[in-house]
Amino acid sequence: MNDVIEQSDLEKVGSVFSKEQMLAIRDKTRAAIHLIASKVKPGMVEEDAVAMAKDILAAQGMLRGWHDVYVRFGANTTKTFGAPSDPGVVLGENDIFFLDIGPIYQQWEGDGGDTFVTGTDPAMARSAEDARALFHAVRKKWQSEGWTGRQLYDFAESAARDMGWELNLDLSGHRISDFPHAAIYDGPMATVGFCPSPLVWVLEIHIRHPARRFGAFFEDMLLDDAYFR
Amino acid sequence: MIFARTSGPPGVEGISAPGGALARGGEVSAEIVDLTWLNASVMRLLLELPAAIRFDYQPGQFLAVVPADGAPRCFSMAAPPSGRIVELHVRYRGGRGFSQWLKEKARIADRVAIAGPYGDFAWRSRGGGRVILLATGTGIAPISAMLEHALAHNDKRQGLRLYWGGRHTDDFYRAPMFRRWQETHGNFVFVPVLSRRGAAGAGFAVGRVQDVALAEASNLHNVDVYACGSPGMVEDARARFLQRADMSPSRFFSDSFEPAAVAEKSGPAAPTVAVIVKRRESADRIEARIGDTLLAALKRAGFPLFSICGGRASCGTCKTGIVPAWSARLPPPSKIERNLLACLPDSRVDDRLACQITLTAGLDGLEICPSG
Repeated sequence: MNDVIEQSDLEKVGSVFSKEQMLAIRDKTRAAIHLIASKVKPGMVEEDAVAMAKDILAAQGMLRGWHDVYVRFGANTTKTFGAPSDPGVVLGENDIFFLDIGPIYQQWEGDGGDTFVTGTDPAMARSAEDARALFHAVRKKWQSEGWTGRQLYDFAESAARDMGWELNLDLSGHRISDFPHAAIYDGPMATVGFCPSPLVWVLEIHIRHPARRFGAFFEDMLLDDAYFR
Repeated sequence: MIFARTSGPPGVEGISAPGGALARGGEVSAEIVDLTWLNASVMRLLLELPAAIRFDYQPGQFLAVVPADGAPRCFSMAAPPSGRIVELHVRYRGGRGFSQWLKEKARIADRVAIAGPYGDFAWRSRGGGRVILLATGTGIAPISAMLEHALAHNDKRQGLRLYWGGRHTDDFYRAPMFRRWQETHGNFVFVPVLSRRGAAGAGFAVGRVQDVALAEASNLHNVDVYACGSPGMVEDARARFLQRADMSPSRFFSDSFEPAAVAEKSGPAAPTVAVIVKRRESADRIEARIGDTLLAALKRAGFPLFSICGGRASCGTCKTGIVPAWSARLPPPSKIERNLLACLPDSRVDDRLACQITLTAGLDGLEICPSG
């Protein structure tokens, strides 16, 4: 009973919430991530990539964000949400980077992230692929089993370990809504004792190499298979 | 006396320090004698004061590092008074401020100008009863100073329970010391509290410090509560503790630090300027600390401004109208601020982001219209 009450409280939405608009900002977010990533090149300094990302988002009317724009290069991909990057990191020819953006389009919040590699380092390439694969493995458990947030991230942690990665549970899913979701619930999905509803949560996967200084990140809205084809 | 250096914090060169005792509001030059990283983002800064200076402070108080450009940075002393050495904990914040200077340029024997002590956050407990201490982040510094004082001087039967909140296990940079104290002082209990589940292992509570503390406190009769850290924690802790009928309002003591991107540390006693908050038919005058952002000043004065992104010029929720005559006197907006203002709904030509305006002496009398 407590979980039911808690779920209705934690999954409240604002007055202009709409499924269509949430899906629209999700699409815009994913498109922006790939557009920004396509313009990130070896030799760039991370701070310049962040500025470029903000220019691109501004041009699309999405500069406003409920969190800052993160483009992380190399060893900075191990940094957790909100942690300052080491300054002056230059993207190498054989390197890794990820994006994490949380744009607000008009009144709706987007949030997404993805990881990209610039060379042929097999471990880096595998980490980017595994972050996406783990995202979908967790999402499928949500879809097929109806697991709670806690169960989903217990599974994610175990599965990440089996894949050879360490899961950063500081980035463990959160609410999303018509702006601002933070006024409703600003906590992690990983602590909720109910099965999260679609459209109003994002699932985050941040894995790190157990020995080397890089990681990979993937984040998208919690939705069923039909939205990932 | 003029201190000449080849390097120093931005704007601190050429400080004139008084001789003799450190007067309240005066400034003296202190020497950096140790600079050690306590974890990935917090530095321990040890300053040595001149031999002629007496710096008497109460554990819990803070001092100001005073750059000549009028943007003081305030830090609580992290240990009780001990001769000429003062210990501060400085969180690295990047940018071009004091913490960046410490990280990149400061060397042993460099000098900084300081003033103080300031603040009324201090140990008030007189023995008997119990004490609950709440801290987040570097809010542990004044709490730690008070605890060290209390354990050395107070009633050994007085129960002291410290709840220190952090996001990651690495945040608890003073945990080994607190665990030693717990072993040697039977009346002291240390509870590290992780805000999120994450890498929590044995010995960590999970949640918000105030929630964990309240859940463990079945009875608040004869209990003193000290809270220091983020404004959100302090304000919520105050509200929630005082909701309890058995908690005495006069026994809740607190000091708020500003959010990461807003200011290094807040405090009530630094130099101030007036800000006039205009409404249609009335106006409020608030006293704001020089060096604070306009956002921090308005929040401290009780104006209900949102700041979802934490002062990073991302969300636009602190958009504030500036009276046109004052707009031209503000530094122009950065490209990021300008672009963000341009994409906000209903943005007007004299709107600015309160988080991006640093109050200086030249802005004394600044007139704003928060509702546009």
